[in-house]
Amino acid sequence: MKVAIVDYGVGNVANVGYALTRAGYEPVLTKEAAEIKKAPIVVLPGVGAAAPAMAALEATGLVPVLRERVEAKKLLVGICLGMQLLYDISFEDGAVPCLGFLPGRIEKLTNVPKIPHMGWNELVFRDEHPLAENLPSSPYVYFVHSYGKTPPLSDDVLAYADYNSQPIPGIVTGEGLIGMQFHPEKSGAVGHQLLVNLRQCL
Amino acid sequence: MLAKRIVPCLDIRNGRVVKGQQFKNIKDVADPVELGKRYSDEGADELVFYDITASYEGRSIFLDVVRAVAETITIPFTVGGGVGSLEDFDALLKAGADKVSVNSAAVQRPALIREAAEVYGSQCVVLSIDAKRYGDSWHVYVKGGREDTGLDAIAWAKQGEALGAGEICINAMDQDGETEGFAIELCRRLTKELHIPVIASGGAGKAEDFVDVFTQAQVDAALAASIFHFRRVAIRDIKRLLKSKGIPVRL
Repeated sequence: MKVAIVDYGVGNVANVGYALTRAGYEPVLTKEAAEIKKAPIVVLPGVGAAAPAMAALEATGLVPVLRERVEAKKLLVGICLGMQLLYDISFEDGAVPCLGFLPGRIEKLTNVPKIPHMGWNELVFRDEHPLAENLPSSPYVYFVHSYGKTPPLSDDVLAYADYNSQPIPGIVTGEGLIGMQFHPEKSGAVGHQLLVNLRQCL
Repeated sequence: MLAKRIVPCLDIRNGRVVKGQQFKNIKDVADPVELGKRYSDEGADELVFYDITASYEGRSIFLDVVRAVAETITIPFTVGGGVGSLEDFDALLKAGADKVSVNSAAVQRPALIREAAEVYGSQCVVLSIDAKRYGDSWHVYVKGGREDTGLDAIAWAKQGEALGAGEICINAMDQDGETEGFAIELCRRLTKELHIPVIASGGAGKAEDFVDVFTQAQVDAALAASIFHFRRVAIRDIKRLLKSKGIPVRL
């Protein structure tokens, strides 16, 4: 199955491609609207800060193409910063309007011992979902981020991690939308299974 | 709960993993991709690859190693050794590394930390410090532990944090390769003073050493090499022991 990884020049996406290949997909890194329209799954990756990433994404001219997919409920998966961009607005270095595919804000983590929230933390699922199938009982995944989705326990938050009693949104969902705040491509066997499960979410 | 991390370290020379004691008596032990994969399968939370070649040919072999590791390994990995410029950061991150550690070059030109953090983000800049006890304090050593800079290790770590380093890896030279336990006092001083994660390195000889450094020094991660290379203790056994002591780990 083809997976189009949106190429907008933000961060190193080679590792996302390797992980998708290991999970049995045919990833293609692309900025071609046609590829992004027709792929059964599109991944929006992202590393770095929200403002330059949104600017780079807008410069590709692909935002309307992504919006069309979302309106048609065709699967779009945001990873790390790519997940954050799915929301209305990010308050990283000011106020950055984002894609607005999901309602909510991205704000700096508060009441946590150290920022970034970096390392392995355990996902707690709030509901049943095809993504959660065949995961081990303690699904640890690898996080590296300083900002997170707020409020943290709204209906779109499928799974969260507990960081010193603060819930940190880990997986978010909407119609045709999945977002992962952590890095599935760096999350060992659990990350692999989550990527394998994406095909069950079509 | 955020898990404490166990981090095997692999020293790479001309594309092979090697291991020495107190930076000397270096022996060839394994293929980096195979050993990295084995550690990952055995429960390592992260890997570190240090290039100890420092020659031009060695650097290009090392980049090949980094690419091969990125294709195969499914956990985060840091690379370091001879990183001196933003170009080095760029080449290593493009080859697939998640984090890059700087050591001597940052002592020589601290602005390198800030520049790398601005371009690539703090999360991928690790300041690695080789420290050796000097009376009641610790001095920063550079050039693979051969040169005493006279700098205070704690002060340098704090400066590194202020410049934008995302993590500090503290390698206690008195402990390196000696398997008599981590440098608890040094690590405790650092975790008190810093707000970024601290990785303890040097001295691990048995599973209890990991319990001690996590409970007594509150470090975020513990790094070791020979204890894993020579299979003295399995990573999972260390993690089971840590869990039994109430320390959160990924099992």
